Amino acid sequence: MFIKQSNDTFIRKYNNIGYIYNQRTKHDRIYDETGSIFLSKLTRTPKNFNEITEELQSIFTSANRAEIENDLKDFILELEKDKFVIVGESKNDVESKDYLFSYSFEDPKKSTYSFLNPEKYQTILSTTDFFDNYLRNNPQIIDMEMELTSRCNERCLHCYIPHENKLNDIDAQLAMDILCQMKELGGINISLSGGEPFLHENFISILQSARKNDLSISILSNAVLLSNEIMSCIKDANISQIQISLYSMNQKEHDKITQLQGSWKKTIDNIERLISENIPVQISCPVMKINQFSYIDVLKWGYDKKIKVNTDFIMMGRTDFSTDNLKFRLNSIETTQLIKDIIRNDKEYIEQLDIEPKSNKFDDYKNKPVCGVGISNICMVSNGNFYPCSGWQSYILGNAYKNSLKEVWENSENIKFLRSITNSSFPQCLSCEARDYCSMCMVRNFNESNGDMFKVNKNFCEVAFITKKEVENYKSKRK
Amino acid sequence: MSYKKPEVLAKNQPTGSYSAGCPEKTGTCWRSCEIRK
Repeated sequence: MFIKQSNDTFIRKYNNIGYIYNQRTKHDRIYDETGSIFLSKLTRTPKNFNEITEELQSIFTSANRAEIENDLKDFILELEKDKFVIVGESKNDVESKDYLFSYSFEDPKKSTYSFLNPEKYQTILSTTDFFDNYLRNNPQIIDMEMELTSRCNERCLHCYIPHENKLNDIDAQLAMDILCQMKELGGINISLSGGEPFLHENFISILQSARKNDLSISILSNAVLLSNEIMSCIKDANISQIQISLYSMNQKEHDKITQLQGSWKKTIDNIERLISENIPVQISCPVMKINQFSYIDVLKWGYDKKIKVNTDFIMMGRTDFSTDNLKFRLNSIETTQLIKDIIRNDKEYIEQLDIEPKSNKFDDYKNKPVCGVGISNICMVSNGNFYPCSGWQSYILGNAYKNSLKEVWENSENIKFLRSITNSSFPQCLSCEARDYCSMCMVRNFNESNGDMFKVNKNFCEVAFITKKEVENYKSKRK
Repeated sequence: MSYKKPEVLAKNQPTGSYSAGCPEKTGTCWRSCEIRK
């Protein structure tokens, strides 16, 4: 028997646990220390079962061979069921079975959430619950966003980066060095963003460096500048996904938001090209006043194309604390209509409404971090600064020209402070009856209140109460 | 090193998958930090 780690699977060891993750199915699993050692013996090239057994026996000298063989067989077959590994009779057999993403699958975007199927409910702890507790005590970089350039070819009305600051490219060597450091520290997911990342003249080299460092890669782009060369390299890199901003199926509305004439046609054409090349696409469709009546056509278009479309209507103030972009944000009447539309049209949203809210376990909830910043996430931008996340660019954690990623992660006073913040740092939210419907976010508080991350923005409260009302209406009618 | 059979401590569940980032809370399942553009 030969075994290989599938093309879409990533494996990491954190202290005495092992983590395995599939970027396509989003299935993941956490193993104990023995499991972490078993995982460490899997490779991207096919390996003979006996070879792995011998390697394990050289570590576990007290165990007999038959015991290890039996346990390894069970271990491998369990992983095979969820497509973490490929198993076959020969090396060629294994290689031929390892498929890449394709839009010819029945519903490729659905495969991501297949584990939401209640038939697969099991009693074992979820990876979210496990990491919620584990990462609180053992902060670990898992996700990183790297802004390759602040330059952008579009001038989106709602953008949180002040347009006058869109000037710099990251030093390519520095970017590649940080990607290498990220891998050494156990990071898995890298998002290459901007500005518009394709404007960076070394985009391809940086992408290839991320691949070389065995990172799961996402790209955030408007796709207007997608050349054949870039597309070919993206295909070769077997990325997790490219997330593309598309605001409307109405050309004039889209171009009015991006302030770049002709951008809609180029974005649409290039999404079609990516689909034809079987590169996984996700559409991001922020909703604001201009596209509040037409964004639904983006949802429908995406659905027909087997693409997931995410909508977001809680706009963020700019990183320099200016808020003039927020004049495009939906008011409460418009937000109510939007949530009704989402409930009516987004089947995946409806499926998720039946899941028990996390905050039902109140004692645990109040001690949890608000989000993953400084716990599992970090962001680096084009001037070398590290921030908690890409929108939080007035809160510096360190700079890559002066500090290594490890030094920032372990020693930054600002990152230590972020780690001390929990849901109980927002006492007014703990007793709020719309708590389960709220997506309060510290950077959005920060940017809209001249830098006070604890000043809860009233927009969150308004949206949470509207969401609560509409979801409860939907549920009562369904009964 | 002493040996015991490998054990799964956690796996993706309908109630939570770290890698999928969802579901966080009822009705607010978008990870808005990932769909900011």
